[in-house]
Amino acid sequence: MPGYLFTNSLLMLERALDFQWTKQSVINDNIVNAETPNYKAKYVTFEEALDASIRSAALNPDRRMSSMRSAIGSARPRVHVAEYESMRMDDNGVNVAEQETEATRNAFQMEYTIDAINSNLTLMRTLIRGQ
Amino acid sequence: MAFISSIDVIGSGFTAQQQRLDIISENIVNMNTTRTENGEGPYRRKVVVFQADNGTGRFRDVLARTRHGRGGRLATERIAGVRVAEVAEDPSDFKLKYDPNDPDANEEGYVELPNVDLVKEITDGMAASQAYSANITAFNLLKSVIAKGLEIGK
Repeated sequence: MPGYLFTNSLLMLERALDFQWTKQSVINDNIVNAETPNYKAKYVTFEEALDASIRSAALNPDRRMSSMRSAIGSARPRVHVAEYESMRMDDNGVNVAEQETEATRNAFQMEYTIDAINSNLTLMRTLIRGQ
Repeated sequence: MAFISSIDVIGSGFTAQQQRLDIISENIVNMNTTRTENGEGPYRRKVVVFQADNGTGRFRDVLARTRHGRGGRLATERIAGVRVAEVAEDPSDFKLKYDPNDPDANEEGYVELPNVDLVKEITDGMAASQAYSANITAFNLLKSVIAKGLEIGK
């Protein structure tokens, strides 16, 4: 597989988009459940998992590109529940204003990621066509 | 497709808030109703009960569980929105009004009126409408992100 076509940066962008998509879905779930009694807000973590798997791949003695690739590719976003957060009488833990802000921020971040993927693909297309 | 189910999540929010608004309207229009169809006293206030949907009842999940046994995907982290679990009746006492001339008055001359509190209904309606707006914002964001995502590689 030619290395310049399937770069680690493209893979990283793919994983980032996966994380952001999961995050967007989780935020949407929080927003629609903003009035559900006992519902607790969910949140997504990804950076820690990615960092841990890249670190363990860097410790690998043979240090090949492929081990780094599989380290990035195997990092998965995780969904957690904020169990103890609630300031309301119905024990609901969703702060709608916070979730809306986060949703907006995340949507912009996704657009940015998609732009980066597109410029990566444009570069590849230029390479393939040679013009 | 992942983004179809993501739209469903927000759709469930719309449906739930819409149903809540419907029930609120029903409470308000019946706030003076002293007779009901089953003939047992005045109208009783209704409330919707929301429940976070874990999506276990969906066709896709039932199929996956049947195929892979109990070791299939766990439902705990599934994202499936909200649903109206039931439309419950408010068990609080009816209001009493002394009006011996009313055809529905009892022997002591009191009329039982519905346990609907207009202020409560209106604030509840405002909360539902705010929640609906929050869903719309989330939906618009999701829509723009999906449209952008469909342009990958174009």
